[in-house]
Amino acid sequence: MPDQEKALLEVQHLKKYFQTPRGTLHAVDDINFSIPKGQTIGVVGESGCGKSTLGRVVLHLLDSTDGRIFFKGEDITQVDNRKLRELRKQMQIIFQDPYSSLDPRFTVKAIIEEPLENAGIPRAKRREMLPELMATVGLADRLADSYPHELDGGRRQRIGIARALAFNPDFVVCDEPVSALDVSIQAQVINLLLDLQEQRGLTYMFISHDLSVVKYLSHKIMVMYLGQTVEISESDELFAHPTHPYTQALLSAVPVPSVKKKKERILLKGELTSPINPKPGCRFAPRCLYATERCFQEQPALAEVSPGHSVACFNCVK
Amino acid sequence: MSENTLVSVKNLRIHYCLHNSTVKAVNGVSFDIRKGETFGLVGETGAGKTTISLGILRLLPDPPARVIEGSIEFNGKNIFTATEAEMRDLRGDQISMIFQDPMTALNPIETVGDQILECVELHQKLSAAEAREKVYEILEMVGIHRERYEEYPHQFSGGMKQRIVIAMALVCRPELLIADEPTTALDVTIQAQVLDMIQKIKNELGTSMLLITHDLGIIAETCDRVAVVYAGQIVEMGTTEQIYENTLHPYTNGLFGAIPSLDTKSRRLVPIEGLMPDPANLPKGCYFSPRCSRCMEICRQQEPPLTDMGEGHMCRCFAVCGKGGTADA
Repeated sequence: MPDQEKALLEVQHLKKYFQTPRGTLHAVDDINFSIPKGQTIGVVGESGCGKSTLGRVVLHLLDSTDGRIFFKGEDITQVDNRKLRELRKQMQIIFQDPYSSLDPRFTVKAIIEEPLENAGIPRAKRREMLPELMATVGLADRLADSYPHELDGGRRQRIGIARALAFNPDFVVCDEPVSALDVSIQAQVINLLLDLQEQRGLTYMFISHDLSVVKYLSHKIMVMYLGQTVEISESDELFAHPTHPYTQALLSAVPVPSVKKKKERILLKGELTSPINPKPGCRFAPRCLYATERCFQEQPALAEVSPGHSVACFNCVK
Repeated sequence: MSENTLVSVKNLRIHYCLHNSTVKAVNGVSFDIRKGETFGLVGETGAGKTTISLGILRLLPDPPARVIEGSIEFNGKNIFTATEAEMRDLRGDQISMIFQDPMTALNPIETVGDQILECVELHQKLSAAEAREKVYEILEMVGIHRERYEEYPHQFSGGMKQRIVIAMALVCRPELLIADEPTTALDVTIQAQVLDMIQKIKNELGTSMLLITHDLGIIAETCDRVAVVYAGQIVEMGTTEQIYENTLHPYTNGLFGAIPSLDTKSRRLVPIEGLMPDPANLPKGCYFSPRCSRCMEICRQQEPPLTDMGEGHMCRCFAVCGKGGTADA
């Protein structure tokens, strides 16, 4: 493992297949990436591309079908449950929907304390930690005895963040943490995540369908399509030179809040094809504007187009 | 009311009267929609956008909703004094609506063709064959093959379902199409396809559209004129160009600062501090004042009037429009 020294997390040939009555669903299909400590990898793609499954498999909340996940140099697919419980304190997740991910019958205090309690931290110590945790995420003390339904989406998401931070983790998977929030509140939460990263040296895997949100947080970006990586690169490079036809279409589809910059829109044909028993060849080919005969027969591998910028497309790599 | 005006909303106030509180959802909203134009209502959750649109269709749940004041005229006809039978004739025929979530807007146990057909049968006296032909026609217009008439909603993807909902709304060629967050539930690439299609059909049929969204990007790409709504009031209104190029109101400016954009280089967003006020307990004076960076003493005392800042660019703010509410800033 050459990159183990620098990388906090490294994923190699990760696969997750689900058996369905109609065949094998390739949710995550041979994904490779690594994240250095203190950085963020953004995972972008449309619904059904496997990005949330990837997030869960990386934390070993779902067993992987194949592949290896190194966290601080240790392969977490191989460790036993007791060790995994210990590791989980260092790897946390923030969920998408702050409305359904919090127990409505728990108070804010109880929700944030729950993981600490599970870890056997005594009550007195928990009571000590609580105000600090709440302050970290910008929740006022007076809210400790409120119930989730009394709070708005932004505050609820802050509870989710406080809970994830309870053990001072090194790595946090953020699964669409702001997509349920209004723009003015969304900005508050994004800034909070940036501040926390700076203060605590957190490493994020930021999953989102929204390229503009990902751009604000990520050092590296991975674009997924039907379980596979189609393009991976440093963030600035990706936005400067989007290369894969899918990335280009995705970028051009984002409506720009400006009347001056009218951009040429690339309209894709059709919709996502089924991830069940995928046909050979490039999975994006049926919607691709540049697809050739070869794209339908062979699967393109990720190849470097410039240092650190890889694309899986026959037409992009000469 | 000028010849060109299709819908005229005047000083509309709608409250939801609950047993222990009154939710002031719409507080004195006035705007016109001209023939053939796309008018955008933009604002955050709870701003009252959907309540306004349901008011135009007179589909507000009453109780608890109550129209306290104001009028809505459609083609010169007052919606609030029309009989229930007249309203039934209007809805789906001259005014129709696309709802946000295509997954729940369709009946799961009826074929999509029959669901569209229902609208034709209700409003037009056509033979069965002619009516069916109309459905085929609109299906092809929204990009669905006529052979799929007999299929059920679950056999379609999200984007396709939204196309069916749109077909249903357009089959009677309405004069006004109300689209309430029509693409919020869709992925961006599908959103681009659907928006493109709505634009094309709208131009082809000459329909006016009221587009409700929270996405300033969508507004920029589709609307002729825009009203920015905050806590049930229009805080700024004008042509899309006026709003985007010459933003006046602090809230609109705040919205622009808070959107993550693909173009800017900065690594930090500028959020609007604080939260949307509780519509059951609105602040005194300007509703935006508790969150406003330019808030003055007068803002906490008096409600600023909507002031014309030239060429129909309206703004509701003492700091921008001056204290007398006159048009020189």
